[in-house]
Parts: sequence; C-alpha cells; structure tokens
Amino acid sequence: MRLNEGKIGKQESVSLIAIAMVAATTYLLDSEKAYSKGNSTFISLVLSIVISAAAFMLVWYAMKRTGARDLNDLFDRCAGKAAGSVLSAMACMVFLLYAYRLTAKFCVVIHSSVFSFAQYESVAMWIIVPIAFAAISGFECIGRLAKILGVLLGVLMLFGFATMISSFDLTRLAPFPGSIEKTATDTVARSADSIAAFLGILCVAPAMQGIENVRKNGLLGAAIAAVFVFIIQFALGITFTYTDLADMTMPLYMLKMVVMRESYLFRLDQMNLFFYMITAVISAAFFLYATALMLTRRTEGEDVRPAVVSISALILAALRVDHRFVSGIIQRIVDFSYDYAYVIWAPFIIAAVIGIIRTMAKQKRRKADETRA
Amino acid sequence: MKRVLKPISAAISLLLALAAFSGCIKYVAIDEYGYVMTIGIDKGETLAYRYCFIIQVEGDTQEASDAKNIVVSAEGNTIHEAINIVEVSVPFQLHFGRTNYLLFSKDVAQTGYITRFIGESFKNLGVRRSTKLMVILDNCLEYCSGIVSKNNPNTSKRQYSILREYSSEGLTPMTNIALFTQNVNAKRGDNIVTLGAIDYSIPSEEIPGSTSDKSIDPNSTTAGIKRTGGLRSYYMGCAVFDGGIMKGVLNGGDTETILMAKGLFHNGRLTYGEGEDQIVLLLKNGGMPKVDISLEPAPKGELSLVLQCHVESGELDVGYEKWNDELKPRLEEYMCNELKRVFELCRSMNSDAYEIGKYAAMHFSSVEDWENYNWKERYSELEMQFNVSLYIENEEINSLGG
Repeated sequence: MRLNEGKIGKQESVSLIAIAMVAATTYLLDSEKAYSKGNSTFISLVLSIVISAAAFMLVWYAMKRTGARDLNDLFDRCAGKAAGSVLSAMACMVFLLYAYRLTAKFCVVIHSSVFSFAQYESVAMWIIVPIAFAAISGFECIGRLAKILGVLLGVLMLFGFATMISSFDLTRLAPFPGSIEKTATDTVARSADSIAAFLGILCVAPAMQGIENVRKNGLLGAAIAAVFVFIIQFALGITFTYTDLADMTMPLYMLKMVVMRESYLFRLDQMNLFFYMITAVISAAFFLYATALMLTRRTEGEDVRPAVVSISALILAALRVDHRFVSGIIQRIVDFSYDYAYVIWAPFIIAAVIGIIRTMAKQKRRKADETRA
Repeated sequence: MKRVLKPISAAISLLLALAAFSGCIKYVAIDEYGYVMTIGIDKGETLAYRYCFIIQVEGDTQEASDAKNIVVSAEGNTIHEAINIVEVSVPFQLHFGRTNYLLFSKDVAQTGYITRFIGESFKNLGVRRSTKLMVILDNCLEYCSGIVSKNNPNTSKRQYSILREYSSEGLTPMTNIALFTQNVNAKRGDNIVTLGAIDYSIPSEEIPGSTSDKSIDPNSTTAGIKRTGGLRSYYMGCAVFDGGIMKGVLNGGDTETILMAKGLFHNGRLTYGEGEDQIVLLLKNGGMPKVDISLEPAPKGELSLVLQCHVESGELDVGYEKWNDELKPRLEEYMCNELKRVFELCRSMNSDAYEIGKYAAMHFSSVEDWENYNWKERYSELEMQFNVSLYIENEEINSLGG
C-alpha cells in the first residue's frame, strides 16, 4: 500500500490545521463581497471558525461512537455504502474547491505582482508542481513542512504587524460594523472556509494516532487559526478603510504600503508574498492529498500517487482554461461553489446524527440482548 | 546498479526542481534596467501630458560610485505612450519598482488627473502604492532637473531628506499613493500633499537631459526668502485637495498648523512677538488631538490639542510667573486662532484637510446611513471650536514655579 499517510504528532497536526484554516479564511476572501458594506470580518470570520468547530465536534463524536477509522468509513457506517459514496464525493469536491482556489489566487497575485512579464502558464506550473510534489510525498511530509514553517511564518507575520503600529488608526473601522445582517450571513457562509481543514483531519485520522488526538489537535489548531485570523483582519481593518479593502485583490500584500517611514522593512512586500504563498502551497497540498486519499480509498486503490497526479493535472488544466477564456466559466462555477459551500455541512451533520442514533440504538439492543441472555 | 541509480536520479530531479523553483522566470539582467526614481507629469504642448523621469543608471565603468542620474521626458496621451518613446531612445528598459516620488504640476493636479492616473496606470507599471506624492508649482521637468545633483547621484537621499524635514520642522506634509486614494475613496477627509517649487535665482547644474532654459531670475526666492546655494528645486508648504482635485496651496506655517490638527505633527518652531519681546518656541507633539463631535441637529465639533514646548530664545526674560500668567494664555489663544483661521481657509476650498469626517463616521454603525449622511455636504455647516494646552519643558521655568 502506498497511501503515504505516515504518522504525525501534535505539533505537525496543529500547525497544519492552523495554516490550512488561516489560508482558506483570509487569502480567499472575495474583497468586494466581504468589505463593500463595511468591515466586520475580524468578528464574522472568527465566529465562522467557532460554528465550524461545533459542527466538526458533532461529526467527530459520530466517528468516535461508530468506531470509524476515517472519513470514508464514517460515511459508510452512518449512511450506507451508496449514500456514503455520495458524501465522499461531496467531501472531495470541497477539498478540490479549496485546493483550486488557493492555487488560482496565488497564480494571479504572483503573476501580476512579481512575474508580470512571464507567461501565466509558467507561473501556474511553477506553483502547481511543488503542490503536487508535496502531495505525492504524503501526509507526513506535508505535516512536517507545516511544523517546520508554521511557527516561523506566524512569527514573521506578527513581527510585520508590530512594525506597523504607528500607522494603525481605529477610525478606519468606522462605520462599524457596517451591516449587522451581513455580519450574521458572513458568519454562517464563511464557516465553509474551515470545513475543508476539519474534514481533512477526519480524512487522515489514522495518521494522527488516535481519535482523541484528532479532536484535541483539531480544536487547538482552530483556536490558533482563530487568533491569527482575528489579528490579520483587525490589522487590515485599522490600516485600510472598507472602500479601499473592497478594491483590493489581496489586501494583506498591500498592508505595509501606507507606512510613511523609509526602511527596508517596508519594502519586503514581495518577499512576504512568497511566505504567504508557502502557506498556501502547504494548505493546497493538504487538500489535494485529502482528495486523492478519499478517491483512492473509495475505489479501494492501493496507491495514492495516480490520484494526486491526475487531480493536479485537472487543476492545472482548469487554471489554463480559465485564464484563456474570456467568459471565465470555471471561475464563475468556482465562485458560486465558494459562496454556497457552507451548505455542505448539512448532509455531513445529518449523516453524523443518523450514525450516532444508529450506534446508540445498536448498543441499546446489544445491552438488552446481554441482559436477556 | 539500482542502488546507485536511485540517488543519482533523485539528485538530478532535485537540481531540476531547484532551477524551476528558483523563480528565474523571464529574468532580466540588472544592467538592462534603468530604475525610475521619480515620475513627473506636466501638461503637454502637443499631446495631453508630458511625462518626465529621473532615471538612475549604471555608470560607464565598473566602479561602484559611478552610478548617475539622467532626466528624460516625452509627451503622450498616456504614460505608456511616453514610456514607448523613451525606451526606444535609451539602452535600457525602464523599471518602476523603485520609484519613490510621483510629481504632478499644479495645472495637472487641478484637473483631478491624479486619481485617474493612479487608477489607470498603477497595476501595469509596477509602481508601489507607497510611492510618495508631490505637487509642483511650476513644471515637473524643471523641478526634476533642479533636484538632480552631479555631486550626489543618490536621489533617494534627497528624497529622504523630505521625510526628515517633515519630522523635524513640520513645514511640509507627507503622503503616498495609498493614503491619497484612501482619503479620496473614503470621503472622510481630504489630502494635503507636499508642495515643491523652483527658485530661479539658483543656477541649475549641467545634468544630461535637463531643460535648455538655464536663465537666472535674481528676483526669485525660496518661499519668499532670498537664498544662495543649494539646489534650484525646493519643497515647502502643501497643496490642499478637495477629493482628487487640487484647490489651493498653503505656506509652511499653515502646513504646520494642519499637521497639528491631524495629529501628524512631530516638531516645529513658532516665533511669537516682535523686537525685544520676540521668543522662539520649539513645539513638540503632545499626543493625538482629541475630537468630540455631535451631528444633530447640525454638526458641531471641538478639537483639543496638547503640545509640549521649549523656549529656545528669549528664555532669559521668561520666568515661571510671566510664562504662566502672561505668555501661556496668549500663546494658547494665538494657537487656537491659527487653528481656526487655517480651518476656515481650508473650508473655503471645500477641503476637510483636518479630517474631521473620520470622527463623524464613528457615529454611524451602518455604511448605508453614513453614505446617506453625505459628510461633504454637511461639512460646510460644521461649527468647530479649538482648545490648545501648552506644557513648557524648560526646567528653569518649571522649577521656579515649584
């Protein structure tokens, strides 16, 4: 068997979950939709992680009660093989959506901000190859990358914000919150961004050395991600007004440009962009691996590598087609899926509840049989 | 054989991967670039605009100190047309990644072209949004020619001195593209931009590409003061904007006042009194101004400012009682009157240069309500009061008071 799952410990898991959640939540935000009615993202995105964590706990509990080994097994035990296959396909679509969006986002940003004279396809190849390479190397490789780079990148990010303290202005948050209805809807809608990371760790549960570790590391990683998401979005909110944020493709990249002081520290935006890209590569590799693993397990394959290669090729082809065609049909489908991805929790929650009820019923029946016997 | 082949193929793959991942996509050798340090935009004679560039290039030899600046310009309806003309006539490709300053002549700034230029040109040029802005009273080409010095090819140093001036004297503001567009889009305040001008009494240096007009006007001054020596181009004061359109200019003293009101003032000097009663105070920032504002029935605001001060000359005559009973109240009243005067001056140009709008915005919780309130319309009704508190630092004055 070449599923390349390996085994990872607490630090690797927590770093990976935190990186994947921060990347999916902050990098992929549609600026126009998120900021055009004011900026309360440092509240809505954090609450969305909390909502997602509550749903994760329910699904995790179902996994514990049913004794499932991984996500495929959980779906089968809760909903049967046929419905379980459908649920597995939906989970794969979520992973694929976020892997594609992260890759596409950085292809666009790197191409426009750094390698503007290069071909878009060259930049796409340059990004997708390490993602595929990390995914082929396996989950342990991805986890260890996250551990090595996670703390370093987190510290660099915080240090970057600290150098900008004199440029922050709380009045830029006004009018706050901008729109209470939008804050509420964003809280629910953006819970989708943490879904992929939570589902991902359920998918690779055997590699995390026990179901309890999945819960502990998942929640700890989510807590760290929530703190970073709050810091990042709050820093953006007190640096740029909502009118500016709504126009920016990647506000995090522009963060230091308001600083008036002259120092090399404020000219590192392109270098910082590469650091952000590294976190996106790790996250995208994780989601790509999770998709391939789900497909391989579902088809009872023994080698995850063909699935990784074919999905990577699919992503690369989608990037190329989307860039070449003016109508951007792929981008429109992806954007639509991104806006409504939060509904995907519903079938998983329903399946989890059914699984818990069935397991409890089975256990009751067994106890009754034992008592009778 | 297999055991040997495997590490060799892994090593070759790694080398190929390193080459692919090292970012060498469409590289350009460094000496093929001319780095544009400053872009200037004037009204054109035959086409819409004249774009001029101060370009830093490698010297003719390999010596490190041989870098030089040249000034080139071309007309065009857009900057890209001008760049095309310039690039066919120079042996390098223009690179805008290090552009530090963007200059607009007064004629161009008054048409509102700054906002349009930023919106149209930025992404494609690769100019950073931290590039600083300046408005030039005369024309940018003359200014660029006057700012470049044969003896100091490092124009960044010259430009950095503007920052230092802002911090130490407060006679000139600082703003960059990011902050300029923020104010224009957010409509919660208006911009003040560094003002540059030319003293025609100072001879210009022979710089490649500089304008042909080398005439000297002995009556020309630097902001009204006779000067000799130094560079032909100078900066002092600010251009006042209403949204993206320049409406007027203020001198160094008035700029200092606006910076105090905005909380951007660091240090500056105030000369008060005349003759033997004249004293010179070094004023220092005492914290952000406190602004209280109510919006109904009509907008009413109060700005309270704290300044530290140090008596620099005339101090032998100033004792604690004279300071506390006589000078301090008079100076505070003088500062309040100055704040009021400059506020009214800016309002006459429909400019919320004091950025009172950002405090008004804090009264709203919904974007819709804020946008419907239409701050700029209501700004003309705003009644502002000013309070200034001065705290003296001179030990001899303080200690005598106990």
